[in-house]
Amino acid sequence: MAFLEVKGLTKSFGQKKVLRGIDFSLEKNKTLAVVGASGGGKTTLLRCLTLLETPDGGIVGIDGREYSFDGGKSRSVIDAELRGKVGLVSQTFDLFPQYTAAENIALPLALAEKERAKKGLLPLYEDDSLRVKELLLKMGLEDNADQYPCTLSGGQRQRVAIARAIALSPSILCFDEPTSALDPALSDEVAKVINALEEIAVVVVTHDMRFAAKVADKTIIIENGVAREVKNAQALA
Amino acid sequence: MSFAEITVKLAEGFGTTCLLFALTLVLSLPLGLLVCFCSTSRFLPLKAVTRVFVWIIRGTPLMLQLFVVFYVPGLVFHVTLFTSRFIAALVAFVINYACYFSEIFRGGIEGVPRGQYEAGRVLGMKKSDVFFKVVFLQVVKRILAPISNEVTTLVKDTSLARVIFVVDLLQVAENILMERALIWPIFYTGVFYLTFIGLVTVAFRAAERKLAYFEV
Ligand SMILES: Nc1ncnc2c1ncn2[C@@H]1O[C@H](COP(=O)(O)OP(=O)(O)O)[C@@H](O)[C@H]1O
Ligand SMILES: [Mg+2]
Repeated sequence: MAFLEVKGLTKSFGQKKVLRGIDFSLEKNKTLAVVGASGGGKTTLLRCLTLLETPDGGIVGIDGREYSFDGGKSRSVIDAELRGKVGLVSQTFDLFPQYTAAENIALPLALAEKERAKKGLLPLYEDDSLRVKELLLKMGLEDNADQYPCTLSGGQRQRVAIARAIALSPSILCFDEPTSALDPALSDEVAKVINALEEIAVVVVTHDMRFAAKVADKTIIIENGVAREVKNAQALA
Repeated sequence: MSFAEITVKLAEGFGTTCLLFALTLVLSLPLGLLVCFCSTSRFLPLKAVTRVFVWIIRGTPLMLQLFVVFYVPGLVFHVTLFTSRFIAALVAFVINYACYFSEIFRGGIEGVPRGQYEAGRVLGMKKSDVFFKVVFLQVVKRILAPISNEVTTLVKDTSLARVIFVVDLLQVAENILMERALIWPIFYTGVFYLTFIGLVTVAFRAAERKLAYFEV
């Protein structure tokens, strides 16, 4: 089984079948680009992977564990197990406005460590504040640690959102249209940041084929609710 | 009666006004939050009943509500619910303001972008942590201006308690008019109200400044 394995994932909203059986797999340290027409279900796929929506059916396998949405295991059990395993950098980044860049990263990490301690698990890191500093440095935000989101540029906000997500050391990190809210000139920068991520599988939703070609090891296109691998992504660009 | 004597007399009435104001605020803010949760409940009967109640309270004059709270228990049920007029006035004020506050809270909570809740969830935070550590302060910031409006109105609304014979600031001045044929104390009450509202305004400005460091 691959590091991330999705089989027959389905999701409808009322009568509308958005995902009709999505299949794909992805190895660790690889990046998958998900392309397709607007309204095709790309965001819905990410929302299913992050459990913001409950899939109607299908299987999601992550790092050797399978989560079946055909009934079986209850949603709350899956929720608890998948918590923190799949990260998301949304289109709007959704930083917490009342916290500084550093606090945005530190808060969820501190809460996660508290939960781990309660369950008798080892902490994610020996020194969380050191980890926050490392992440800020890695994202080129060392001078912005004490800035509030409203004073950061779009690109900086996005990097805080990335740092905040990877602080929890997820297995999978999802990006929804990472270039859409940014100056087009920044898309190379974003690609660089994504390519530098390690020990993680990355799923990037984008409608920008050139960007997809830059970041992806593998590309799938969602059409009519199913995914098809695109062998030659450059040709689409 | 000297100016000083009148000032002391008015200050007594002003004490009642302040007490009604403070107790109304302290009780109606949490009750308003409770009403807000009821009016957004997923349990539809509760939601419907609460919304109709809020609609009635917001759609009728506070003065009428004062009469209803004070007279209806005796007239209809033949019970004396409120031996104290002050308590009757307080009950009417608390219910009235809780309903207004509940709508402000509802707007404030619904105004926080979904993305904030969803980011919290994807980051593995518990629902209560998302509400108290992420959403709450944003709601406070969002509702500060409308709450400040209501609180300013409350200062002036306290003078309605006179209709059920609570002796507030304005009533004291009116008594002086009746008993001593002095009219200027009536106008003098404006100084008390304006000072009070001035303090309320300063307090809310300070709170707004304190939350100015972030944008929602
Ligand atoms: N919560 C929802 N309720 C109803 N319909 C939805 C919901 N979320 C998405 N959809 C519908 O699902 C379809 C796919 O949307 P989306 O996943 O956002 O597409 P994409 O990201 O590829 O543009 C759209 O037609 C959209 O209207
Ligand atoms: Mg989308």
